[in-house]
Amino acid sequence: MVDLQMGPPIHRLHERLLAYPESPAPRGQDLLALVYDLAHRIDPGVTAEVLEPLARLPQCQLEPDEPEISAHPDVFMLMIWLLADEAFSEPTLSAIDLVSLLLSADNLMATGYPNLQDEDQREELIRLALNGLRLKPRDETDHQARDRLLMVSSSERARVVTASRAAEERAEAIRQALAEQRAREAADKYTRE
Amino acid sequence: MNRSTHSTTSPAAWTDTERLPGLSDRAATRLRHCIEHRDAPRFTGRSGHRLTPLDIQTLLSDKVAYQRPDLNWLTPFLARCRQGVPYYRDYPWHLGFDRLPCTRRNDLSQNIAAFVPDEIDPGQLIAFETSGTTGHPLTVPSLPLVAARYHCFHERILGWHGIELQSLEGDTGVMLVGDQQRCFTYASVLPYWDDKVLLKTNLNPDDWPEPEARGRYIDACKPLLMTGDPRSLSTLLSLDFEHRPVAILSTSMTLLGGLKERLVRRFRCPVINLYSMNEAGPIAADDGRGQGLRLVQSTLQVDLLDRQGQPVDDGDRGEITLTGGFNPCLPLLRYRTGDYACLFEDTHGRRYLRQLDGRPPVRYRTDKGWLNNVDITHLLQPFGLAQYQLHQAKNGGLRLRFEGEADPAVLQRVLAQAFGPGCPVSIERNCGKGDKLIQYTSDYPGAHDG
Repeated sequence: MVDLQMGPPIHRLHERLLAYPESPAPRGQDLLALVYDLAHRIDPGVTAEVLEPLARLPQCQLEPDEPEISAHPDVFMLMIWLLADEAFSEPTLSAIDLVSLLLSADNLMATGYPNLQDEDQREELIRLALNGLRLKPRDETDHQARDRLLMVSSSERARVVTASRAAEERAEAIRQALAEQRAREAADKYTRE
Repeated sequence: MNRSTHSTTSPAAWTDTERLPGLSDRAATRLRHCIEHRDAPRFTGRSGHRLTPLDIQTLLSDKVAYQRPDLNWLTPFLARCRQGVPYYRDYPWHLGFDRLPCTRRNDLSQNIAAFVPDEIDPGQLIAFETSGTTGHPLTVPSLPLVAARYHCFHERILGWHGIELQSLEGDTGVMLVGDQQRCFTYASVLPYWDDKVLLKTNLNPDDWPEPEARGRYIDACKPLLMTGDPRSLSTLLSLDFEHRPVAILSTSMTLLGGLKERLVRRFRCPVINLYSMNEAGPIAADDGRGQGLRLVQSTLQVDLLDRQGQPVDDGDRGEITLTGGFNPCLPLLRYRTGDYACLFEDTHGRRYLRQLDGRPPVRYRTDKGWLNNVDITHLLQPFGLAQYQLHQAKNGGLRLRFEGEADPAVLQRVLAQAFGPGCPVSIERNCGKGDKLIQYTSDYPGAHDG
């Protein structure tokens, strides 16, 4: 199992969520630009290829005049707000993990629109975000962080996260293997195609 | 003298047991003879079969299995796709095979890792790169054993022409010929074919001690089979040599009738048009009966679909769509190839592709002469374009349309350098969303006469 990096203190992240602004959230291309900025801040080496799937998210394809589905922010928007906190500029993070986290944001929690006044829901969202970026709250051991994530999440949701990460890790291993092999010659074939 | 340009720290090719495990003395001697011959070309690279003794054993049993195909292969194949392939796992399987989504080259190109089954160890993978007609560059995951399996299908195809590959005597099994500005070339051996030598060569005179060495080398090595794309085979006709191979395999592009006749007249051997692609291997080949290109793989289902993904009526033209295959690293499920054909079945149950709309060869006029479309591929490869289309107009002007992050000004400069300062070049980002993008097109006189 991968070691977790030390992240921000959890109380700071609760405060951050409670300070979610009331102004209308960006959408469509504005939202996409915001997410790209976030990814660049978190991982300056991020490539366009890594970011490309984000453009296909429904939230990033909305027209400005389309009506809001809900008056409350969804998990996706809350994650972006949370991760835009300056505390996330300290650890070395991977944009691949960020993209993977944001792509799965809609399915991570039982509710799509968490109640920010509910401490348990905030805690779940924070721990899911940290775990997705391979972080743990400051002053917690890896073991504690994982245990507490399991406690706040249903076991099914934790399974989804683990499976999705395992799938992404395997896909990355395959991509790397192919990239290394591309740099070398393959095996003999006696016709060209 | 070793002509190979490889690093002097690499072992000589005829002692290279990493690429050629189990290299026998006989194979090493043959290989050395071909590499050290005074007329040998400059080999630019190294390659090898990379097969373990177990792989070779498996290959022999594969050969037997391919002769006695399992007619019920599709059901277990679909079950493996459903359970073990990430991309297919969430398909609406309950709808039945005909209603499952189709995939295209672009799907593979964007997310190839999701098509590799869970059971495949990434550490074992090898990769074949391909640019293809559709302009979506693709890396095909494969295994050394899969590359060697091509031999089984070539053996079957040649058998249709009365040629028993295993009984043929000679030291050099195959010579691949290319005709490009630059080309990855090498000499290797085939342990599953009597240790015969395989030579991959480039007929460009720059690769040879002198232009006449090309013909002398062919006469010296006497390759049993010669393979190449139609343009390279056309160059072969211009060389002076006596040797006649037992068969010629034409791949990669459409083999036009006139060239085939000239090859048959000169070499008096079967000239076999082969429809093959990196994603699926050999799909169909001329069997000499004049019925079209006969399907060669028994565990590759070929469907012809209309634009909506429905099978076309019997005898109608449709898009060649593949399911199955012999590469366990890339199980194809309703894979739309972008090529169109009709299917025909004779009274003996042999199935043929007819009116295959394949890949017409194109050459481009520069101020110094002609450039092969494969050379264009090399020219643009470093830019990593997602997709592109190059068209040359009647007046020689070029239009490059592309998708990707490249700087249009740099692309323009590279094309202007290759084609000469007087050639108008226009660059457009965005290829459009056509059903099938033909990567290389030209209205320039003579572009299709090479």
